[in-house]
Amino acid sequence: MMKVALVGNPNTGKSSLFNRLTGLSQKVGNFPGVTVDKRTGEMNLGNGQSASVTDLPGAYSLYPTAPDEKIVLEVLANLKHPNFPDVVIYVADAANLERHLLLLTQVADLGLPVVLALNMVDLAEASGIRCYPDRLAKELAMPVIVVNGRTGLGIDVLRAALPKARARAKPFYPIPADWQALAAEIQRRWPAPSDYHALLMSHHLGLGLPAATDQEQLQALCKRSGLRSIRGQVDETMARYDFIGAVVARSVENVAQSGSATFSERLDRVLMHKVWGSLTFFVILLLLFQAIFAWSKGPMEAIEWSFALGAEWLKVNLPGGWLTDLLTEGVMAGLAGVVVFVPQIALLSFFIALLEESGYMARAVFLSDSVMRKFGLNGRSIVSLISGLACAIPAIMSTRSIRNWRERLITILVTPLMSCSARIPVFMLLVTFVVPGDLYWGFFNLQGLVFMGLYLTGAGAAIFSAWALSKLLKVAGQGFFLLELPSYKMPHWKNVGLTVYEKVVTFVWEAGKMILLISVLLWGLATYGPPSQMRTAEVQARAEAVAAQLDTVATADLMAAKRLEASYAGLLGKTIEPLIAPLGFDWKIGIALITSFAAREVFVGTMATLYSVGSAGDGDLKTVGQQMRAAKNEAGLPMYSPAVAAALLIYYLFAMQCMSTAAVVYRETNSWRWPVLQIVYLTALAYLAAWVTYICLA
Amino acid sequence: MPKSPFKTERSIAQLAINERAIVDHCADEALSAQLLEIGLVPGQEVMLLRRGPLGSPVYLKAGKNYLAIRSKEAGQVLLQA
Repeated sequence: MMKVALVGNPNTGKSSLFNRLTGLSQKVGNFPGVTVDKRTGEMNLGNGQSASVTDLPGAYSLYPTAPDEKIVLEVLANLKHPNFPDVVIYVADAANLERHLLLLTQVADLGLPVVLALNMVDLAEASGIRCYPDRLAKELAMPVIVVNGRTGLGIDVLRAALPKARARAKPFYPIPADWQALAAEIQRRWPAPSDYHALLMSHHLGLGLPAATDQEQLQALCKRSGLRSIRGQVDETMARYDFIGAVVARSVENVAQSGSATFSERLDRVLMHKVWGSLTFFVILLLLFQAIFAWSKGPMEAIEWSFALGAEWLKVNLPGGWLTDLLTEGVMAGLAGVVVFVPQIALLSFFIALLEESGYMARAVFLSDSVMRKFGLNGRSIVSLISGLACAIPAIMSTRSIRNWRERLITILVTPLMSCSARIPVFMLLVTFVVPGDLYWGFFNLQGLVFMGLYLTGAGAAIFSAWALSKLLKVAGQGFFLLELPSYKMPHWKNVGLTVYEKVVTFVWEAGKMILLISVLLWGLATYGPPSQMRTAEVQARAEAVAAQLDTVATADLMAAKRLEASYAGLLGKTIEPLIAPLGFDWKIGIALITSFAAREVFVGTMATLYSVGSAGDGDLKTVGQQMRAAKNEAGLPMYSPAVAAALLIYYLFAMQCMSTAAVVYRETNSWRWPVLQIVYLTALAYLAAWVTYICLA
Repeated sequence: MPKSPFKTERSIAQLAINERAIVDHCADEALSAQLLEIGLVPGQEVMLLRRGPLGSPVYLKAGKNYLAIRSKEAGQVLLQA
């Protein structure tokens, strides 16, 4: 099957065109070895045959500075890459060909057949820029097709042009004389289909060369040549611009009356204004916050309810035994833990897609950069930190657009401090022990105030940690802050919808695998224990039940509690008791800390089991709360004093009790070093803060 | 900036709001390579549209491109006299 790649600068309407070409046949995955979203799909060529299409990330040139951009180079300049295309569709904004044609000439010089798709011609004409596609086609010696990804204009012409596309005979940029010897030598030793390909190999040492020996040879060769690749890059870009400038002058007519401000410029006077712009941004943030919490509440409750119902149904209808238990308490609980976040992630990605599509996001980045930079972060970090209020996983994935590695790393490391939705059930349970839920003056609720305080504390801790990390981390931060501010556009709803769908699917698969795996593992730890001790626990529970004349439900509850106590998880909880005693925690809390290590919300379910209410895993907050209220410590005083509950709250606010986040951090940083450092510093922070809280309140 | 008796080159960072100037060159080669790609090219007219909340980043119109760069980096982009 023919392979097609879509290439172009960011903000050219590439995604709309991709959606138009592939319809709903598209799939989202990852490029091998990196976590850059890969969108592929199938398209009809119009002659009964079909082709596979890959939508490559937007890039400005073949000299990448961000991981997303690097993929473009790796796919187009590596003959062995599984997505190496037969034909390239290059999408360009007709209003700004001077810049958009730069990457086009580079891609064509790799020796690839290219078809130029001129997008946004209508917008260009409206602003007084008239393109002559036939003149452009002649100048560039390649097919030029006017398309409109939103209306579908020109799509059939584009389909028909693909099988006929041929590589250009001559390069746009003949490599300079002093580089020719080096390029020839590279081509003699390794497969490089064009001079320009060889030149790029020397710049990006080892491009498409997997073997270390080859890379060393290439490096030595380049060093001997005495040529400086950064100088070469600047010279090349300038030479290409000279050529492009002449081409555009001959094929584009500019009748715009300069001087009058465009619609976007006028809108920016308000939206990028120091005061009004910042105020608008603040209001948008409030709306976003509202959406994540208020609007997702109903669907989330519905999901929890249906999973509980499903598990109950399975329990009744399947034969009893460990397999059913594994299914209902391990797998189903794990699945519920994943699916319950779908409404929040869908809403959040909907709003973020809306902000991106409309062009507003770049303004938000502009407005927040100077403040964020004071704390070692980046204007783009604001998006990740806000997303972190729903879930740290998509938030950490969204740091990819931060080009400065140091600022990106700091953003990744502090994002889990933003209070995510998994903390809500824990907070809800514990907050009742800290302050009463009474209303003051008819509307003022102290618990609400504590909730808000927790969110603010989390955000404050994130900002403060970022500042501390920026002082401590010895990581070089190459990469500059360069931001393009696209013109405002009406969001294209189909694109927004597809983005939401993609994000949800990615989350369910990527985070789902990990959460499911760990849920099953923890189920095992909580269900099994040293056989002799488990037996003793059962005998004891039965004896106690008989002595207290308990009914069957209460006996089963007591049995579950005793079994958990004797299980491996229970043993671990008791082992760490001396360690957590200074915080006022006992071994029961120890067990909950361990079972909720993978996912915080498990805390509530574990507490329910330990205080034997209902059957295991069914965490009805009210009854768990009542049981915990009745619990006494060794001195005969209430176990969950305000001091203990507050210390637990603070612990859960700071600790990184989320293995899926650790897994995502590993994938994004490509090293175990960072997730391990993150777990250690966040746990230490949580421990210290909980200790201080306990000491102050006890 | 203190006035120097020698010929001083102004940079984009020193432009007033709505002031236009022609880009001469970029003092940092690595930065230069990246600025070229997003459309900030020597010989081109730039206009400072506005500054961010604490004076950074600066919002520029360079040819047909609307760009923002931090003021530190803007200080590296020198203008024709």
